[in-house]
Amino acid sequence: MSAEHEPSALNALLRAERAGDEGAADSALERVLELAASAAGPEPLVRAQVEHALREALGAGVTGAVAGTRASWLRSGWARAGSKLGLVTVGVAIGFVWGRSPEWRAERASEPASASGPAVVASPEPPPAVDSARGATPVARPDHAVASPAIDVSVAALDTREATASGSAPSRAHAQPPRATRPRATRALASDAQSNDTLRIALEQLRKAQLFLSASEPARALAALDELDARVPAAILSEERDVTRALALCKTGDSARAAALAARVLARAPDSAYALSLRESCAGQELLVEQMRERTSNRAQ
Amino acid sequence: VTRSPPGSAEPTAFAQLYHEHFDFTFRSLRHLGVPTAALPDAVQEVWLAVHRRLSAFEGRSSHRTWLFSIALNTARNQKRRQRRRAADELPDEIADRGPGPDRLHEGREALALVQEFLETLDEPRRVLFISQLIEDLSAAECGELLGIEPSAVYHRVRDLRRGFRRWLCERRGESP
Repeated sequence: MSAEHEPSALNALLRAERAGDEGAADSALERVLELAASAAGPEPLVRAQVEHALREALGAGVTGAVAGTRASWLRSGWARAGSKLGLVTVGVAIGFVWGRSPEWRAERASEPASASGPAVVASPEPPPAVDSARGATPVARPDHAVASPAIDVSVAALDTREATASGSAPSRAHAQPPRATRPRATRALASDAQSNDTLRIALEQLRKAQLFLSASEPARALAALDELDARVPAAILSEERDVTRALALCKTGDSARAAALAARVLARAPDSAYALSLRESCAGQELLVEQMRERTSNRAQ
Repeated sequence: VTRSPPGSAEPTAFAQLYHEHFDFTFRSLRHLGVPTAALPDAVQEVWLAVHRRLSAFEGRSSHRTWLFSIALNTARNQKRRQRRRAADELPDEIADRGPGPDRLHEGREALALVQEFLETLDEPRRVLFISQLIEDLSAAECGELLGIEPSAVYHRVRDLRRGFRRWLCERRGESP
């Protein structure tokens, strides 16, 4: 850790130690510990992913092994790709699932584990060339099946918001599958399933593209993105597609097209989660050069 | 959190516990040395265990002591599993690529230092450091976790504070 990055609380502690000021050193130590505690908390995405997995496990009456599979998949899929981009994309998928109505979630939860497959479940085998390059297989670990218990309780168990909003404790009756009493939800499920398929395909293709990108195979990454464009409407995960494509184009040396895509993403969402990745890529450098050219040209005029 | 009556596993009790203490369990697991990539599974395992055991929770200890002990067992199990399948774990260099903006944040730096220090401690002292100095459990709660008297907790915590300060100075190449 270089000196310029030293935490100020730590500096204060060191200064107090040098001065032999016990009180100040203790105060600074408290500050360091507070900072560490606050930084140790879960990121929103991790919280959402665990919450989703628990809802699935507790609400569906399935074994915890399935819940373990969910969290493992979420981690292994994109995280193994080693990309913040991937995590955010899975976050989009979770948000997609999470944003559904309670009826929809209850319907999904009541399905058998083998059939409950919203966007975050399907884990396509990565392309063989990438697999061998990474030397890892993104599948759930079997030992979770042993470690996790079987549970059968209400999906409302985690639904504090709903429970507190109604002001009454959810009863065991909520645990019953609402299928028979909620035909509207059942009908809605068909269209939801279709949407899920689309999102699942989009995630699969994006994941493939990411894996190819990580394996320094930008041409194959671009091919995966082309296939994605052909199969899934452009509006779905459009930002993720553009960013992945821009990064792939950078690796092919096509910085002009990469910059155009990056400019499009940053124009639409200046605070994009991918802004840093783009600015650090060839596209960002290209954009900077263009900006400098513009400034020079403006001054000349 | 109000203590649930023994024998009850009301969904609301679980939900309340979850929403109030999820972060606590997550932080505890992280401090107990569960790798970042394994945290989602580990914290999920904790809460599945909480759900399973909540009806048997008799309220003899505080919720936080109880949750911490579950997190501690989960962390131990996770380490055992990790040893068995070391090759399958996500390598740190992939899980955390380069410094990035977050790493430059003061909190991240403090966390990295604390975790590095925790690595140097044996389990009882690590548990005490996390539960008392970071998570602010009472001396009685920490004593219960470790099976020692509260007065012994005070002594050990004082030593730990000194030890951490000394370690930080040495880490920075300064004599305390």
